[in-house]
Amino acid sequence: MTADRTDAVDEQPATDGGATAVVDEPPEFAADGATATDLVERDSIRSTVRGTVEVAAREYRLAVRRRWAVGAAVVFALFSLALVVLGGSEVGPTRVGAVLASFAQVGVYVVPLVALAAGYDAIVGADESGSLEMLLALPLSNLSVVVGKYAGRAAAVGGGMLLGFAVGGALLVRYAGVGVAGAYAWVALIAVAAALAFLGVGVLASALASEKTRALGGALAAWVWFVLVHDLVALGAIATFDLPQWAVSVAVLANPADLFRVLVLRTVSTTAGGIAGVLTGAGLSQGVLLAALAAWILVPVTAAVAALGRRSI
Amino acid sequence: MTDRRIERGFAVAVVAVLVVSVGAVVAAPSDDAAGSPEVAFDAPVPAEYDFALSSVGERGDGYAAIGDERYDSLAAAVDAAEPGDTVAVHGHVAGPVSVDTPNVTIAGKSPSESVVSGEAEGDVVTVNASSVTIRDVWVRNAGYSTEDNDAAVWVDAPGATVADTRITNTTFGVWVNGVPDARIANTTIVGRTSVERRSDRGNGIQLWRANDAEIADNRITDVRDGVYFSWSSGVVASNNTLWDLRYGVHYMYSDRNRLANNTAFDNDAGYALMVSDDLEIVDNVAVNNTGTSGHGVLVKEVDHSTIAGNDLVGNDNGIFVYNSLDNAFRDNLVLANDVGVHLTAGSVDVRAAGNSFVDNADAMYAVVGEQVAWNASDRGNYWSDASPVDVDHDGVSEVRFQPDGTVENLARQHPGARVFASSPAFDAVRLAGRSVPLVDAPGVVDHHPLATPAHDDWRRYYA
Repeated sequence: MTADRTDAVDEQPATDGGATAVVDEPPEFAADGATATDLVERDSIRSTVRGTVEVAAREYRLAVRRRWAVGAAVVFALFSLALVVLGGSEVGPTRVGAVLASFAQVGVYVVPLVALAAGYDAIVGADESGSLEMLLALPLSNLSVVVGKYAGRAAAVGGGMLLGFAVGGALLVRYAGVGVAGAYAWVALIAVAAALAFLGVGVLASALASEKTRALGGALAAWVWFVLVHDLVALGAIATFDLPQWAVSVAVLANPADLFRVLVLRTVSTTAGGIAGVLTGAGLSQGVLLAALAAWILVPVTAAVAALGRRSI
Repeated sequence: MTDRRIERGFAVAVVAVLVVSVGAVVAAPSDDAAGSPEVAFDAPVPAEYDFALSSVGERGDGYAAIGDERYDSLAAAVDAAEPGDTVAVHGHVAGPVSVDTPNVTIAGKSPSESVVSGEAEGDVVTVNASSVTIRDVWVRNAGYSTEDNDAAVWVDAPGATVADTRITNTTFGVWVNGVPDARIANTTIVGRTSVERRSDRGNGIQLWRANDAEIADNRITDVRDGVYFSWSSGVVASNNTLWDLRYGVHYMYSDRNRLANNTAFDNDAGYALMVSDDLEIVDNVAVNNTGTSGHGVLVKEVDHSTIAGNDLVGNDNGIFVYNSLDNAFRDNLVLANDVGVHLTAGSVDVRAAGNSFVDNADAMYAVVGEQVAWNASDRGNYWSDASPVDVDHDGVSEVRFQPDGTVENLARQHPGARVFASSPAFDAVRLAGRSVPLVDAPGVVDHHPLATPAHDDWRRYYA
């Protein structure tokens, strides 16, 4: 059993220079003499990374055992199969574009919902069950706890999504040939990236909320805001105040659901005068959009680390 | 133990799919971001005409003949001709020539074998007598002046016929100057591409007070306007092919004319109808007219006219209607244009039914201050953007459709807002405006949208 677990951890990136990690022991916490500051720093970084990896592995294991990964895989397999079958019954180049566009249109509801549901109880749930207290009693930093929990769930849910998308992708390739695989894989990866962003938002809600029900409420409020209200407000503001172009760009960057939608739609040219031209005019290149999506993954998780620090356990 | 296996197996599978996905994205070409789907259109004419003079020798090498009588120059033969005579052109003869005897025919063997060349000044063939026919010749090298109306064939007498002829290297092709009953058929007119701007070239066929002319089966390219109407009535223009022009056909102050079965593509505008009355524009095709004005059909201050059964495909605007009243727009296929119909300047009483609007970026752009109905009493048009609800299976939706409402106007006034196209918020507002008359926003409304396209074969443009 012990050897087995060591293997499991070794599958993670070799952050400690490939040294065999004795992970069943708590990480050494500045035990081996704090003679020089750089040594201390290096040690603390190393222990943080090791702690994070450990929490992440544990969280991943729990998530898989709770069938979240399989659940996500089943949900997105059904989702992608349905869209491919419904849209791809007559497959030609234009129809493939329509199928991918419908991934953006329908996925903008489903992807945030699944990710927020997977994230909202990460901290507050552990708090209520008592395991958070136990984790913090170990020599683990807040960063390790939050990032570890986030990474573990991200691996389970994101991985499940990717496997699910692969099922629909296989069918689409069968319909339309292997040439569409690149475009489809792009859509799937962007969907996973958007899910990671919303998972971060869910974890942030979880770190802020005092009770699980409140975290759920916060996650649902975030869903309503990002999926529906934000764009309505933006459209209303554009209509009323005659906003300049940069304000429209900011409105897009301020919403990971919009980032997901435009990143998918800009690659498909189903309608004449598609969205790509508008994006170019707004200065939203693919690089900017991807950077914004990465920021939407990093910032909520960082904020959640800070929120955990202010939380009374 | 099984749990552990599932965990590891799952991780391995995810990593494998991730690697494959990233590989597929990296390998796939990523430059398909821009551009609209291309309309597949096979032009019924060659892309470039390649007319060679080599087989007929130098200008003046040829001769003309009346019966067995042979003349060294075409002018001498034409002067000698009696009414009813046919002057045969052999080889490459010199113009200019002026026909002053009625009912004379100038005929070649074919345009590649019988050539009349001008001196790059003034007109080449001038018709001063009635019922003159010019056929099977190649008339070329007229003057360069648009002010002097330099034309290959100048028609100054009634009843002239130009048929099976080729006209090149000219400013104006055929100019019909205030005389009735001209007939121009199966003639190919190619202007000068060396004149850089189209507005500095002449028109292919210029009809000035040319009532009751017949323009059929011609091919016209590289001039200013293909067929230009000025104060001409009762003209039938049919089966002409018009491309690489400013306007394919251009009506000015010309009432009671019929335009049927013509094809205009790759022009600034396909058919430009201006300040005219009682026109019949039926069964024409306008494809890929995307120049500076970019209309399939331009309707400007035109009243009491019918535009029916036309295919308007892949233009900037399928049809642009400006300050025009009491027109009918029926049974047209409006496909893959940037804007299907652009209504403006008070053109509010179009009688429209039986049209199919398919795959236009915007089906309708109506700059009107009121709500305008686009349907007959029991039947409207097909809109590919609509979600028709046909409960009683009579082919007509019970739910109205507003192709042009709040969000469309918003997106037009603030192009940046198009970023939100097909977002849930955008779709919700649009759906509300389109099918539920909660707010009567100004624009075009179809109260009886068709459940299926009125044109079955629109897919042929994507073949």
